[in-house]
Amino acid sequence: MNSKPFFWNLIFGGLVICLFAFAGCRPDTSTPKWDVETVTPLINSRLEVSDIIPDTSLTVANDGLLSLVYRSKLADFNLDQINDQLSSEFFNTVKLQTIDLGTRVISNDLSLGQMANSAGVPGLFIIQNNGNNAVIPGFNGLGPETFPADATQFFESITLNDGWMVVRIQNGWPIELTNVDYRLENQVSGTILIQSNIPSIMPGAVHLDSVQLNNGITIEGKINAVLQNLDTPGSNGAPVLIDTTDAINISITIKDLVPQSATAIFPAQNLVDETTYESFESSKGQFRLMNIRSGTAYMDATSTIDGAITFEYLVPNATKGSQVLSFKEILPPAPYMGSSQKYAEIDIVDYDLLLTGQPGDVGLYNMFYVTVLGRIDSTGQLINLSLDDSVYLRTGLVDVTFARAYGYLGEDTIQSTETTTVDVFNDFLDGAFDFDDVIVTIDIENYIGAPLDVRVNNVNSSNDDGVSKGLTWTQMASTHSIPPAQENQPGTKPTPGMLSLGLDKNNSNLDEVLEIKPSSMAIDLTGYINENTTTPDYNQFLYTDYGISAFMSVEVPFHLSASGINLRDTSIFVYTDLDPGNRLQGGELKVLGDNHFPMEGKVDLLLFGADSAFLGRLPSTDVIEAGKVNSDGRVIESTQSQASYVLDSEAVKWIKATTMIVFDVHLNTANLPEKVKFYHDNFLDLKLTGDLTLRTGQ
Amino acid sequence: MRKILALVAAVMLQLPLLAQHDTTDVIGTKAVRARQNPYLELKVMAGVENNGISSLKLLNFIQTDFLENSDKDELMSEVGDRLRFGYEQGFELSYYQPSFYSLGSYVKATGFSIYNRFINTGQLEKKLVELGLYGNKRFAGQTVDIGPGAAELWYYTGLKYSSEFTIDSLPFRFDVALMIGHAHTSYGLKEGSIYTEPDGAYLDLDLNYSYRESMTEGQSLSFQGFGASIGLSTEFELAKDHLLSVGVSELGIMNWRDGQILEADSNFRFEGITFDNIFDITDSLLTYNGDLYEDRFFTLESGEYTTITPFTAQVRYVYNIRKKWLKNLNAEIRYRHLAGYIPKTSVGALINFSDRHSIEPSLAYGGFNALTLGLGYNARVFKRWTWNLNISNLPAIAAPGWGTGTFVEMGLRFSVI
Repeated sequence: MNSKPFFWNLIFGGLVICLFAFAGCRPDTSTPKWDVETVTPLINSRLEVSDIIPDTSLTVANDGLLSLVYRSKLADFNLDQINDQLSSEFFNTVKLQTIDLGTRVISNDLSLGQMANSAGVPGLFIIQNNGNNAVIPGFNGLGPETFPADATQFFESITLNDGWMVVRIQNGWPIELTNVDYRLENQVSGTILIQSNIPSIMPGAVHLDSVQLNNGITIEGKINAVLQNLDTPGSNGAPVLIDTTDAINISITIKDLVPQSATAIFPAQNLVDETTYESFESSKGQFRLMNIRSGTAYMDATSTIDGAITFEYLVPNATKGSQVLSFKEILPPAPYMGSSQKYAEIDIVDYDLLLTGQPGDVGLYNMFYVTVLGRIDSTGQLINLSLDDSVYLRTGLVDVTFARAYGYLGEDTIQSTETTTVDVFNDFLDGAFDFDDVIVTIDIENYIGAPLDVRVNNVNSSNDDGVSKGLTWTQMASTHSIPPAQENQPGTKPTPGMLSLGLDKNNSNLDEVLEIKPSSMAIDLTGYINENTTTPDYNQFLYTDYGISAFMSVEVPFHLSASGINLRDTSIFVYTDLDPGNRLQGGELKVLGDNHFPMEGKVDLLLFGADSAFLGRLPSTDVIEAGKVNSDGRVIESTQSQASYVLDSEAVKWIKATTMIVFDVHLNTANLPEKVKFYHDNFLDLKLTGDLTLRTGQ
Repeated sequence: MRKILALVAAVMLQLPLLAQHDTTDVIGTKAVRARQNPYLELKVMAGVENNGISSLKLLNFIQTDFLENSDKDELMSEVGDRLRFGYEQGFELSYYQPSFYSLGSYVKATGFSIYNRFINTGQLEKKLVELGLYGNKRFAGQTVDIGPGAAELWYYTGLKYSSEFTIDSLPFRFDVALMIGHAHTSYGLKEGSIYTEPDGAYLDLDLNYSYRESMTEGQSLSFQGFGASIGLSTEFELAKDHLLSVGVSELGIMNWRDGQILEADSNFRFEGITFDNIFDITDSLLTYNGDLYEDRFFTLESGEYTTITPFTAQVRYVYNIRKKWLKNLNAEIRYRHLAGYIPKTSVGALINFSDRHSIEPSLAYGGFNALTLGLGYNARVFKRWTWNLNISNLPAIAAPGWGTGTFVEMGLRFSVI
């Protein structure tokens, strides 16, 4: 073996592997760094008056002059006549003694033939001469005869605290009855209910007898009528027509029962039948109709009675279209030794409630009536009742509120002092200014269907610096009449009666009131309802949602001198979107202004980071010059100027973290107190550019 | 786009300066000969060339972390109207059985090889390079033409099968290769201009611009594309000792998956966007207000796209002199389908010092470079090893203040039998 070639083969083989490994790698692309200087646009922004003040708050005159139109609600209040909630509840406890068991009659006949069958020889004679005129002989000692009277179709037993039993005996035989001994007794217990002797009952005559049933006496459903003895003198020798169907009628009537307990078939009857007046308390108005906004009618009943009870709650004068406010619930039979319970409720939204009492009532207002019925329907079934059984019933209207009311509202005085926030000046007019003219209108809208007299007692403005200014006005404390509102479709907003009170520089110190840049306005107002109404007008109305509203309308033509008018515009500027490598080293920002506003200004840049965190302010002393104005104060040519912002190391940190930039512009009138005009075509274009040094490779 | 800038910088500033004669194996087929042994061969090459910046300056730039403006000025002083550059690094490992006659019958050549290439080339207008180095501030108020220009990056691996066929006894060598693409980026600016308002109020861009980038993943050898290529070459005698060979290699297509395709062909005024340099235009468009500008200024699509592979076409003439030392004279014209590459024309000679050692000097113009002086050296070591070294531009090493970069290729062949 030649070792030299082997050695070189090894060397070259190793070299091959090394070269292979080197050449198969992708090269590293790390590079030196260097700085580039870039001039680049960053943000464009146009500031217009409409950017700060909503278009709805601006008007443009025919010549293009802008005016600030601001309308703010100064006061808003309602009458309290129908604001109270109404709850009307009824409680009834029905005990058994009020239950009507009705009048029960048991009737039975004793015919002449029946009697003859048990009367021996005289009886045979009567039977043989049936249909003939014959002399009936006298006989004595007839009886005893027992006649069962079955009343179980009405009751099985009744234990009474009170009641009456009336026995009626009508002699249908053609002969006189004498010495009639009879008694009525319970068939099972043998308790004698009544026992009596009648000396004589002439033919065709009626004998009545009665006994009071009290002290807990019990009547069974099966009673025996016992004819203990019956004598007769016969026909006293005169022939009479013998008809064996002629009968003595015995009827037993039990009535006026006050049961202690009973197992009975009760007749259909009302347990509760109450009609009650309810009144809506109003110290001022006389209302004939109200519309219910919300509320509930409910029934809560508990019964121990072994029978179904039907309850009905009815407010006849509460209607919704053709529907009367009522509801009916059936309380099921109570279980043995238990009770049944039922709760039900219904919403009564949007019902009209007539407040003039029942039909036929005259001169009633604020009143309505309610009927509650509780009834047992006869089912033909035996029901167990006792004196301890009862029905507890609670019904009513709860938390009823009203949307509107009709009727005479009465005389009322409304005293209101309300303060409202005025925000139109805060965003815009941050400095001092002097308006050439200001026009204000106080509009009072009367949504009440009754005449209203108002008096503005005081108006006061205040700003955030604690400065207040009272309004002096020639019409202060004067009384002004507002006609009633007109109702359109019931339930819709009425057409208000209107009053407009104009204020300007000639009749008030209005410009002074507004030039303090108020953040709030307070108005002291007194309103009088029906102050001059001599005869009640029941066609008046009142809506709880709409009362009296007062508005202030401000129109400020933008012809003014000012200093420090603050405009701000926010732009999204996420620096890392522009430069994900965060390569900024320094440089400066520039704001290029193209000013069509008649005011000069300074622009500061406010830098905000994530979550709107304030990072810092980049101020500039450079002035964005005003547009060139003519003698009328109108811009006729825009002016270009710029402001610079050097980016020191701190500012570079801010910029790198910036997500939002706010242009904070403070405008001033160039030649105070000279006034200038803002027109709809005035604007300020701001262009933020960067003269930036960026380092590559980071 | 930032990646292209980085690679441009890498080409210009960082890579070792090597020199080499372009020796992409195009013409391998010779006249049918007696039996030759099969061999294993490894070719490794790397290098960078450009048409203006000297190797010395590039070396100086390598050694600094931060370029001052004076450094940039020095660099730009050597850039002509247009900077062309090319960087290539790769290897090819092959087994090849040359054709031969055996017992009177012809045995075709057969071979296999695997290769890996990283290529980054481009051609940029001087103003565009200046924008990249200085930013646009110095051009405020001017309209700067920044086109045309192009740059591309390729990184792929191929598996090639080689064989041959004959037509009327004329042998043709052909190659078929399957390629796996690892990364690709191309940037093309047919024409373009940029105007910076003096205060930076706006930038006016007028661009006919296209950009393609394959999806990149963490692994450098990841599978991002797939392609195939062919090669075909032949050699014939014009007259006795006058040989002419022609051929094309690695002509094919590559399909890249999940790439980004951006096209812009319009002018547009940017009033709220930052351009720190023009190379960042793609990143700027995509990261800031991309939605705003998309469709108005450019279109951006995601998906696959197909490219033509960086093929080579070559014509070579050889005059065999057959003297003791001077064996032949040759001339060659070569074209590579790569951004920044202009057809390269060269003349050279083969000089044998002994049976084991020879050199191949050459003089060329074109490619990524300008005028170059190349040198090749071949040596047979022991019985089975053959070694060669080709330097495309010797002054880049010998006189680095003058030479503007070189490619170096080293080959090592091991005869199997």
